Amino acid sequence: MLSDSFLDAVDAILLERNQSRIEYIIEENEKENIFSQDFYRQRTYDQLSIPKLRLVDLVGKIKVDGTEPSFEETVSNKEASIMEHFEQRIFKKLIFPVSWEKDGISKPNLEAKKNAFNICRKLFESYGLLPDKILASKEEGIFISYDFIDDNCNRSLIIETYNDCETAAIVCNNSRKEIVLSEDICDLSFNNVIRLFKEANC
Amino acid sequence: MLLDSLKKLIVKNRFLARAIRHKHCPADFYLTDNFYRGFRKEELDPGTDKLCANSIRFPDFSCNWNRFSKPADVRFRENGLPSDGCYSFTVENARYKEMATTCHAPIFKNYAHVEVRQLLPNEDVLIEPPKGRKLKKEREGWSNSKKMEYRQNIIYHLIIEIEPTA
Repeated sequence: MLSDSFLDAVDAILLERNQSRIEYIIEENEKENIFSQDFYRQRTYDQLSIPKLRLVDLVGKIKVDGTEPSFEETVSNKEASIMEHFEQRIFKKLIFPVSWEKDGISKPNLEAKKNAFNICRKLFESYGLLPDKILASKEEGIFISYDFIDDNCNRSLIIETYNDCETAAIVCNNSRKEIVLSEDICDLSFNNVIRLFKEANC
Repeated sequence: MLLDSLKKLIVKNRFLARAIRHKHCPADFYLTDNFYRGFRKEELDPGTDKLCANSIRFPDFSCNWNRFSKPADVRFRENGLPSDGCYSFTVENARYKEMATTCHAPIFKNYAHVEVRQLLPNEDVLIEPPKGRKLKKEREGWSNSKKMEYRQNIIYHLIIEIEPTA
Protein backbone atom coordinates (compact mmCIF):
# COMPACT_ATOMS: atom_id res chain seq x y z
CA MET A 1 0.00 0.00 0.00
CA LEU A 2 1.37 3.42 -0.87
CA SER A 3 1.63 6.05 1.83
CA ASP A 4 -0.54 9.17 1.83
CA SER A 5 2.51 11.35 1.48
CA PHE A 6 3.55 9.46 -1.64
CA LEU A 7 0.07 9.84 -3.13
CA ASP A 8 0.15 13.55 -2.31
CA ALA A 9 3.50 13.79 -4.04
CA VAL A 10 2.12 12.05 -7.14
CA ASP A 11 -0.85 14.42 -7.17
CA ALA A 12 1.45 17.42 -6.78
CA ILE A 13 3.56 16.34 -9.75
CA LEU A 14 0.47 15.77 -11.88
CA LEU A 15 -0.99 19.12 -10.80
CA GLU A 16 2.22 20.82 -11.77
CA ARG A 17 1.99 19.18 -15.18
CA ASN A 18 -1.67 20.21 -15.35
CA GLN A 19 -2.54 16.57 -15.98
CA SER A 20 -5.13 14.29 -14.37
CA ARG A 21 -4.22 10.84 -13.10
CA ILE A 22 -6.17 9.14 -15.86
CA GLU A 23 -4.48 11.25 -18.56
CA TYR A 24 -1.13 10.31 -17.08
CA ILE A 25 -2.05 6.62 -17.20
CA ILE A 26 -3.32 6.89 -20.79
CA GLU A 27 -0.04 8.50 -21.75
CA GLU A 28 1.98 5.79 -20.00
CA ASN A 29 -0.07 3.03 -21.60
CA GLU A 30 0.11 4.50 -25.05
CA LYS A 31 3.86 4.82 -24.70
CA GLU A 32 4.18 1.21 -23.71
CA ASN A 33 1.41 0.02 -25.99
CA ILE A 34 0.32 -2.54 -23.42
CA PHE A 35 -3.41 -2.36 -23.89
CA SER A 36 -5.49 -1.94 -27.01
CA GLN A 37 -5.81 1.71 -27.93
CA ASP A 38 -9.60 1.51 -27.87
CA PHE A 39 -9.67 0.57 -24.26
CA TYR A 40 -8.40 3.68 -22.51
CA ARG A 41 -9.65 6.08 -25.14
CA GLN A 42 -13.22 4.99 -24.62
CA ARG A 43 -13.37 4.81 -20.88
CA THR A 44 -13.30 7.68 -18.47
CA TYR A 45 -11.90 7.41 -14.99
CA ASP A 46 -15.31 6.69 -13.46
CA GLN A 47 -16.38 4.19 -16.10
CA LEU A 48 -13.30 2.15 -15.32
CA SER A 49 -14.72 1.61 -11.84
CA ILE A 50 -11.28 0.72 -10.61
CA PRO A 51 -10.73 2.15 -7.13
CA LYS A 52 -8.74 5.37 -7.22
CA LEU A 53 -5.98 4.00 -5.04
CA ARG A 54 -5.50 1.07 -7.39
CA LEU A 55 -5.02 3.39 -10.35
CA VAL A 56 -2.56 5.46 -8.39
CA ASP A 57 -0.90 2.21 -7.41
CA LEU A 58 -0.33 1.51 -11.08
CA VAL A 59 1.36 4.87 -11.45
CA GLY A 60 3.25 4.28 -8.22
CA LYS A 61 4.76 1.04 -9.40
CA ILE A 62 6.36 2.88 -12.27
CA LYS A 63 7.71 5.71 -10.21
CA VAL A 64 8.04 4.48 -6.63
CA ASP A 65 11.82 4.23 -6.29
CA GLY A 66 12.64 6.77 -8.91
CA THR A 67 14.05 3.87 -10.92
CA GLU A 68 12.54 2.67 -14.15
CA PRO A 69 11.35 -0.95 -13.98
CA SER A 70 11.81 -3.14 -17.01
CA PHE A 71 9.03 -3.40 -19.58
CA GLU A 72 8.22 -6.94 -18.41
CA GLU A 73 8.01 -5.83 -14.78
CA THR A 74 5.66 -3.02 -15.67
CA VAL A 75 3.39 -5.31 -17.66
CA SER A 76 3.43 -7.89 -14.92
CA ASN A 77 2.61 -5.26 -12.25
CA LYS A 78 -0.30 -3.95 -14.27
CA GLU A 79 -1.71 -7.37 -14.99
CA ALA A 80 -1.43 -8.33 -11.35
CA SER A 81 -3.34 -5.20 -10.39
CA ILE A 82 -6.09 -5.92 -12.90
CA MET A 83 -6.44 -9.50 -11.61
CA GLU A 84 -6.61 -8.16 -8.07
CA HIS A 85 -9.30 -5.78 -9.22
CA PHE A 86 -11.37 -8.64 -10.69
CA GLU A 87 -10.91 -10.57 -7.49
CA GLN A 88 -12.11 -7.65 -5.40
CA ARG A 89 -15.18 -7.03 -7.51
CA ILE A 90 -16.22 -10.67 -7.76
CA PHE A 91 -15.29 -12.13 -4.39
CA LYS A 92 -15.47 -9.18 -2.03
CA LYS A 93 -17.51 -6.30 -3.39
CA LEU A 94 -20.37 -7.99 -5.20
CA ILE A 95 -23.65 -6.48 -4.02
CA PHE A 96 -26.66 -8.74 -3.60
CA PRO A 97 -29.95 -6.84 -3.10
CA VAL A 98 -31.69 -7.57 0.21
CA SER A 99 -35.08 -7.86 -1.50
CA TRP A 100 -33.85 -10.73 -3.69
CA GLU A 101 -32.77 -12.63 -0.60
CA LYS A 102 -36.28 -12.15 0.83
CA ASP A 103 -37.73 -13.49 -2.42
CA GLY A 104 -35.76 -16.71 -1.95
CA ILE A 105 -33.17 -16.07 -4.64
CA SER A 106 -29.80 -17.69 -3.95
CA LYS A 107 -26.64 -15.63 -3.85
CA PRO A 108 -23.93 -16.47 -6.38
CA ASN A 109 -22.02 -19.46 -5.00
CA LEU A 110 -18.27 -19.99 -4.98
CA GLU A 111 -18.33 -21.96 -8.24
CA ALA A 112 -20.12 -19.13 -10.07
CA LYS A 113 -17.64 -16.63 -8.64
CA LYS A 114 -14.67 -18.73 -9.70
CA ASN A 115 -16.16 -19.08 -13.16
CA ALA A 116 -16.76 -15.34 -13.37
CA PHE A 117 -13.16 -14.65 -12.37
CA ASN A 118 -11.87 -17.10 -14.97
CA ILE A 119 -14.05 -15.49 -17.65
CA CYS A 120 -12.79 -12.00 -16.79
CA ARG A 121 -9.20 -13.23 -16.79
CA LYS A 122 -9.60 -15.10 -20.07
CA LEU A 123 -11.22 -12.16 -21.87
CA PHE A 124 -8.62 -9.76 -20.54
CA GLU A 125 -5.64 -11.95 -21.33
CA SER A 126 -6.86 -13.17 -24.72
CA TYR A 127 -8.71 -10.15 -26.05
CA GLY A 128 -7.69 -7.19 -23.87
CA LEU A 129 -11.26 -6.68 -22.66
CA LEU A 130 -12.14 -5.23 -19.28
CA PRO A 131 -15.71 -5.62 -17.97
CA ASP A 132 -17.90 -2.56 -17.54
CA LYS A 133 -20.30 -4.23 -15.13
CA ILE A 134 -19.97 -7.13 -12.74
CA LEU A 135 -23.24 -7.66 -10.90
CA ALA A 136 -25.15 -10.36 -9.09
CA SER A 137 -27.94 -11.83 -11.19
CA LYS A 138 -31.50 -12.61 -10.22
CA GLU A 139 -31.03 -15.82 -12.20
CA GLU A 140 -28.68 -16.97 -9.42
CA GLY A 141 -25.26 -16.27 -10.79
CA ILE A 142 -23.03 -13.43 -11.91
CA PHE A 143 -23.70 -10.98 -14.72
CA ILE A 144 -20.71 -9.55 -16.60
CA SER A 145 -21.12 -6.92 -19.29
CA TYR A 146 -18.65 -5.46 -21.79
CA ASP A 147 -19.61 -2.38 -23.79
CA PHE A 148 -18.19 -1.11 -27.04
CA ILE A 149 -19.14 2.39 -28.08
CA ASP A 150 -17.93 4.35 -31.08
CA ASP A 151 -19.38 7.02 -33.33
CA ASN A 152 -21.50 4.59 -35.32
CA CYS A 153 -22.31 1.79 -32.98
CA ASN A 154 -23.05 0.84 -29.43
CA ARG A 155 -22.93 -2.83 -28.65
CA SER A 156 -22.57 -5.05 -25.62
CA LEU A 157 -21.36 -8.49 -24.80
CA ILE A 158 -23.23 -9.89 -21.81
CA ILE A 159 -22.10 -13.04 -20.09
CA GLU A 160 -23.85 -14.79 -17.22
CA THR A 161 -22.41 -17.63 -15.23
CA TYR A 162 -24.77 -19.52 -12.97
CA ASN A 163 -24.63 -21.42 -9.70
CA ASP A 164 -25.07 -24.69 -11.62
CA CYS A 165 -21.76 -23.91 -13.41
CA GLU A 166 -23.39 -23.18 -16.77
CA THR A 167 -22.44 -20.08 -18.76
CA ALA A 168 -24.35 -18.17 -21.42
CA ALA A 169 -23.50 -15.15 -23.55
CA ILE A 170 -25.32 -12.72 -25.82
CA VAL A 171 -24.05 -10.04 -28.18
CA CYS A 172 -26.38 -7.06 -28.44
CA ASN A 173 -26.60 -4.15 -30.81
CA ASN A 174 -27.81 -1.43 -28.44
CA SER A 175 -28.28 1.10 -31.25
CA ARG A 176 -30.82 -1.14 -32.97
CA LYS A 177 -32.08 -2.75 -29.78
CA GLU A 178 -31.54 -6.22 -31.11
CA ILE A 179 -29.73 -9.33 -29.98
CA VAL A 180 -27.21 -10.40 -32.60
CA LEU A 181 -26.22 -13.73 -31.07
CA SER A 182 -27.10 -15.85 -28.08
CA GLU A 183 -24.95 -18.82 -27.25
CA ASP A 184 -24.30 -21.22 -24.39
CA ILE A 185 -20.60 -21.30 -23.56
CA CYS A 186 -18.61 -24.47 -22.95
CA ASP A 187 -15.00 -24.62 -21.75
CA LEU A 188 -14.55 -20.85 -21.86
CA SER A 189 -14.73 -20.87 -25.63
CA PHE A 190 -15.68 -17.32 -26.57
CA ASN A 191 -14.42 -17.19 -30.15
CA ASN A 192 -17.82 -16.78 -31.79
CA VAL A 193 -19.18 -14.19 -29.43
CA ILE A 194 -15.97 -12.15 -29.41
CA ARG A 195 -15.78 -12.18 -33.20
CA LEU A 196 -19.32 -10.84 -33.45
CA PHE A 197 -18.80 -8.41 -30.59
CA LYS A 198 -15.75 -6.91 -32.26
CA GLU A 199 -16.91 -7.11 -35.84
CA ALA A 200 -20.68 -6.68 -35.60
CA ASN A 201 -21.76 -4.67 -38.58
CA CYS A 202 -23.71 -1.66 -37.42
CA MET B 1 -74.13 -18.42 -29.76
CA LEU B 2 -75.63 -16.49 -26.88
CA LEU B 3 -72.83 -17.70 -24.64
CA ASP B 4 -70.22 -16.46 -27.13
CA SER B 5 -71.85 -13.04 -27.34
CA LEU B 6 -72.01 -12.85 -23.56
CA LYS B 7 -68.33 -13.80 -23.30
CA LYS B 8 -67.35 -11.11 -25.81
CA LEU B 9 -69.35 -8.57 -23.82
CA ILE B 10 -67.58 -9.56 -20.61
CA VAL B 11 -64.15 -9.44 -22.21
CA LYS B 12 -64.77 -5.96 -23.57
CA ASN B 13 -66.28 -4.55 -20.39
CA ARG B 14 -63.58 -4.25 -17.77
CA PHE B 15 -65.99 -3.42 -14.94
CA LEU B 16 -68.20 -6.41 -15.64
CA ALA B 17 -65.18 -8.70 -16.05
CA ARG B 18 -63.74 -7.58 -12.74
CA ALA B 19 -67.11 -7.83 -10.98
CA ILE B 20 -67.56 -11.47 -11.89
CA ARG B 21 -63.78 -12.15 -11.71
CA HIS B 22 -63.73 -13.47 -15.23
CA LYS B 23 -60.44 -15.17 -16.12
CA HIS B 24 -59.25 -13.97 -19.51
CA CYS B 25 -57.49 -16.24 -21.99
CA PRO B 26 -54.28 -15.29 -23.92
CA ALA B 27 -56.33 -14.35 -26.99
CA ASP B 28 -58.03 -11.58 -25.01
CA PHE B 29 -54.83 -9.53 -24.74
CA TYR B 30 -54.21 -6.79 -27.30
CA LEU B 31 -50.62 -6.59 -28.54
CA THR B 32 -50.48 -3.01 -27.29
CA ASP B 33 -51.67 -3.81 -23.76
CA ASN B 34 -49.11 -3.00 -21.09
CA PHE B 35 -47.89 -4.86 -18.06
CA TYR B 36 -46.61 -3.16 -14.93
CA ARG B 37 -43.90 -4.61 -12.77
CA GLY B 38 -42.37 -3.23 -9.59
CA PHE B 39 -38.70 -2.86 -8.82
CA ARG B 40 -36.45 -1.44 -6.12
CA LYS B 41 -33.71 1.13 -6.37
CA GLU B 42 -31.20 -1.46 -5.14
CA GLU B 43 -31.90 -3.46 -8.31
CA LEU B 44 -30.51 -0.71 -10.56
CA ASP B 45 -26.98 -0.93 -11.86
CA PRO B 46 -25.08 1.31 -9.40
CA GLY B 47 -22.84 2.61 -12.21
CA THR B 48 -25.57 3.84 -14.53
CA ASP B 49 -28.73 3.86 -12.37
CA LYS B 50 -30.47 1.82 -15.06
CA LEU B 51 -32.13 -1.57 -15.04
CA CYS B 52 -30.08 -4.37 -16.56
CA ALA B 53 -31.02 -7.90 -17.54
CA ASN B 54 -29.54 -9.15 -14.25
CA SER B 55 -32.61 -7.75 -12.45
CA ILE B 56 -35.11 -9.76 -14.46
CA ARG B 57 -35.94 -13.34 -13.64
CA PHE B 58 -37.57 -15.49 -16.23
CA PRO B 59 -39.83 -17.42 -15.99
CA ASP B 60 -41.71 -16.57 -12.76
CA PHE B 61 -42.54 -13.24 -14.25
CA SER B 62 -45.54 -11.72 -12.46
CA CYS B 63 -47.00 -8.37 -13.41
CA ASN B 64 -50.18 -6.31 -13.47
CA TRP B 65 -52.31 -5.81 -16.57
CA ASN B 66 -52.89 -2.14 -17.39
CA ARG B 67 -56.51 -2.86 -18.31
CA PHE B 68 -57.24 -3.37 -14.62
CA SER B 69 -54.51 -1.50 -12.76
CA LYS B 70 -52.33 1.57 -12.58
CA PRO B 71 -48.52 1.70 -12.33
CA ALA B 72 -48.55 2.66 -8.63
CA ASP B 73 -50.56 -0.48 -7.81
CA VAL B 74 -47.34 -2.51 -7.94
CA ARG B 75 -46.51 -0.99 -4.57
CA PHE B 76 -49.35 -3.00 -3.02
CA ARG B 77 -47.99 -6.36 -4.17
CA GLU B 78 -46.63 -8.84 -1.65
CA ASN B 79 -43.39 -7.38 -0.19
CA GLY B 80 -44.07 -4.12 -2.08
CA LEU B 81 -42.90 -0.79 -0.64
CA PRO B 82 -44.19 2.78 -1.10
CA SER B 83 -40.75 3.66 -2.48
CA ASP B 84 -40.82 1.04 -5.26
CA GLY B 85 -40.55 2.01 -8.90
CA CYS B 86 -42.54 0.57 -11.78
CA TYR B 87 -41.71 -0.30 -15.36
CA SER B 88 -43.97 -1.42 -18.17
CA PHE B 89 -43.67 -3.51 -21.32
CA THR B 90 -46.19 -4.62 -23.93
CA VAL B 91 -47.79 -7.93 -24.80
CA GLU B 92 -45.79 -7.83 -28.01
CA ASN B 93 -42.54 -7.66 -25.98
CA ALA B 94 -43.71 -10.48 -23.72
CA ARG B 95 -44.35 -12.66 -26.78
CA TYR B 96 -40.86 -12.03 -28.20
CA LYS B 97 -40.05 -14.71 -30.80
CA GLU B 98 -42.99 -16.70 -29.42
CA MET B 99 -40.80 -17.78 -26.51
CA ALA B 100 -43.49 -16.98 -23.97
CA THR B 101 -47.04 -15.78 -23.61
CA THR B 102 -49.13 -13.86 -21.14
CA CYS B 103 -51.65 -15.61 -18.91
CA HIS B 104 -54.23 -13.85 -16.81
CA ALA B 105 -53.96 -15.33 -13.32
CA PRO B 106 -56.16 -13.35 -10.93
CA ILE B 107 -55.26 -13.79 -7.27
CA PHE B 108 -57.28 -12.95 -4.16
CA LYS B 109 -56.24 -9.32 -3.76
CA ASN B 110 -55.12 -8.65 -7.31
CA TYR B 111 -57.47 -9.22 -10.22
CA ALA B 112 -54.95 -7.64 -12.64
CA HIS B 113 -52.29 -10.27 -11.92
CA VAL B 114 -50.68 -11.73 -15.07
CA GLU B 115 -47.96 -14.34 -15.44
CA VAL B 116 -45.54 -14.50 -18.36
CA ARG B 117 -45.07 -18.21 -19.03
CA GLN B 118 -42.56 -20.04 -21.21
CA LEU B 119 -43.70 -21.86 -24.35
CA LEU B 120 -42.42 -25.01 -25.99
CA PRO B 121 -40.99 -24.46 -29.50
CA ASN B 122 -44.17 -25.42 -31.31
CA GLU B 123 -46.70 -23.98 -28.92
CA ASP B 124 -48.89 -21.10 -30.02
CA VAL B 125 -48.91 -17.82 -28.10
CA LEU B 126 -52.69 -18.09 -27.82
CA ILE B 127 -52.65 -21.26 -25.74
CA GLU B 128 -52.22 -21.11 -21.99
CA PRO B 129 -49.23 -23.13 -20.71
CA PRO B 130 -49.69 -24.84 -17.33
CA LYS B 131 -48.79 -22.81 -14.25
CA GLY B 132 -45.36 -23.41 -12.75
CA ARG B 133 -43.99 -25.21 -15.79
CA LYS B 134 -40.30 -24.44 -16.13
CA LEU B 135 -38.51 -25.43 -19.30
CA LYS B 136 -34.80 -25.44 -19.04
CA LYS B 137 -32.98 -27.99 -21.07
CA GLU B 138 -31.92 -27.65 -24.66
CA ARG B 139 -34.16 -30.54 -25.68
CA GLU B 140 -37.17 -28.50 -24.58
CA GLY B 141 -36.04 -25.69 -26.82
CA TRP B 142 -34.77 -23.54 -23.98
CA SER B 143 -31.27 -22.75 -22.89
CA ASN B 144 -29.77 -20.16 -20.57
CA SER B 145 -28.71 -18.04 -23.53
CA LYS B 146 -32.27 -18.01 -24.95
CA LYS B 147 -33.60 -16.96 -21.57
CA MET B 148 -31.01 -14.22 -21.38
CA GLU B 149 -31.93 -13.04 -24.88
CA TYR B 150 -35.57 -12.83 -23.79
CA ARG B 151 -34.67 -10.86 -20.66
CA GLN B 152 -32.45 -8.45 -22.60
CA ASN B 153 -35.27 -7.83 -25.06
CA ILE B 154 -37.52 -6.81 -22.16
CA ILE B 155 -34.77 -4.43 -20.98
CA TYR B 156 -34.60 -2.86 -24.46
CA HIS B 157 -38.31 -2.16 -24.60
CA LEU B 158 -39.37 -1.42 -21.06
CA ILE B 159 -40.54 2.04 -20.09
CA ILE B 160 -39.97 3.39 -16.61
CA GLU B 161 -43.38 4.53 -15.34
CA ILE B 162 -42.31 5.45 -11.81
CA GLU B 163 -38.76 5.95 -10.57
CA PRO B 164 -37.99 4.22 -7.28
CA THR B 165 -37.27 6.64 -4.45
CA ALA B 166 -35.33 4.41 -2.06
